[in-house]
Amino acid sequence: MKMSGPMEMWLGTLGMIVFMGAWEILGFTGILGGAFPALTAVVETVIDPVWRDLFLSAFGSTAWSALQGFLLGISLAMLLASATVLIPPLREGIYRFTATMQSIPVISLGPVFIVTLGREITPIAVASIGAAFAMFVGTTSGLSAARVPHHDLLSVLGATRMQRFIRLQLPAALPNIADGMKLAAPASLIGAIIGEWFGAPSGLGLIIVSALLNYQITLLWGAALLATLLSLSAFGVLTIFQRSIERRFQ
Amino acid sequence: MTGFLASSATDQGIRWALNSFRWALNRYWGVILLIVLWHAWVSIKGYNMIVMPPPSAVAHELIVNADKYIGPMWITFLQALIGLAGGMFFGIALAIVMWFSPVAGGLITPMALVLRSVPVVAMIPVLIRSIGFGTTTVVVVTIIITFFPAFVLCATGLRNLPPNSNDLFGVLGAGRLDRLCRLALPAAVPNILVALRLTAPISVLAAIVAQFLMGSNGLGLVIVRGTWNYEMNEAWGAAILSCTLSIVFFIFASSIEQKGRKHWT
Repeated sequence: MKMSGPMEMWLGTLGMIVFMGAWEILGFTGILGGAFPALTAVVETVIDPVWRDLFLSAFGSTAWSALQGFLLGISLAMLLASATVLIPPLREGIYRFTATMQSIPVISLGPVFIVTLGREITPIAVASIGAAFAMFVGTTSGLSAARVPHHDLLSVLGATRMQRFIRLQLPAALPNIADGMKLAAPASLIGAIIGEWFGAPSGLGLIIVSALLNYQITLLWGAALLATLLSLSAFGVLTIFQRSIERRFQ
Repeated sequence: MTGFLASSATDQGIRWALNSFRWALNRYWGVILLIVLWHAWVSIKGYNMIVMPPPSAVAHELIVNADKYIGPMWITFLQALIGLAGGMFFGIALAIVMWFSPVAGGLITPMALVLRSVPVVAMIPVLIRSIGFGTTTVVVVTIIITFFPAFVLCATGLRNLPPNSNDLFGVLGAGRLDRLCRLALPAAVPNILVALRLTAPISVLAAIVAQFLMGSNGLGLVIVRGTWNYEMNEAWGAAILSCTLSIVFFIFASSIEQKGRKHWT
């Protein structure tokens, strides 16, 4: 059942190669129709001098919107999550508030944000909503991770509610907070891209929607590929961050 | 005497009303605040109905033209439900295949990790272009979006066995199939239920985004039609309904999860 490390790595690499090979062959032969380009055709489009600058600036502005939304979203989420602990009467209401915010379809908020906040801010706003929910779930579950005896000990030693929060609950919550950030990063990227659908001046979302409507297949897949790379690298960075926190706190 | 009884009855009535009011306020002040802010925002900024209608106008629209929304809501409900069921089914099936064959598992797992970080909702246009405009695409999109959490959580659940239980099954001479049905699958049930709770509300939103982008049918079409025709009442009415549908899916999935958990552990 159990496999050794190198064996696992070999199989994993082989799996990736098979996947990419299958994609290449399916796209090259066109079995699935014209809308499935080969992997090399997509990569060629992305690095083609005609499109390269467009892709670069789109990549940059989407990453920047997503990052701003991510930071805004996780700060708001941590404030709300802290409020559920420090001001217990507010807890139930905050839970329902976040669940409701999460279930509002972004596509109906998009047009409103465009008119009220503007075309540049909309992707950031949508990204922050996406990030906030994932982060809120992670933080609230982390804040309840501290054990009751530890709470009792600090209370006996005369710690106030605030001190208990800062010295016990917050440190105990860090692993879960890192977990929440790991989920919030892809969510904020999705939010930024959807926010761009509604007419942002630039970005991967803009390329995706205009390529969809203009039947520019490789452009569409190229933007999708770049969005995936962005998501993967954010996920990778945060995984490293999470590991380091786990080492420090466990 | 009767007067005294009657007054205590009204007292009780008032107390009951007060208590339930307090209960509702305690739980739903966030949602109420959201509606109040929405109203305040619209009236302070003086937005007209084309930009953003006040909540009262949307509520009025939903009550007066209720029959207009029942059909689209039913369509969205069905498409989301079929997609959710399909995604859960394929996710669990692939996890079981991986459990049976470590080689297949080794081949697929890293790729699944990569594919999991594909921003799927943002990829809906790619799927639409590749599969075609139509109802099937809505269901396929929903299946793909619910598939990943189901697959990942079920796969970890199948491996997360109680200590030594696998050895016990070996000693008792259980075959692979026995181990799957009597040990691994039951052990994975809590994880599968978590996947259901996570994906149920998302399945509704995924279906709506796909309907919105293609303008196919369901609540997504109502939203896009309302936006095009500057009938924001209609768009927001549909948005509120899809919100409600998503919350209903979530509540339903949570109650299944709680029941299952109680039954299983």
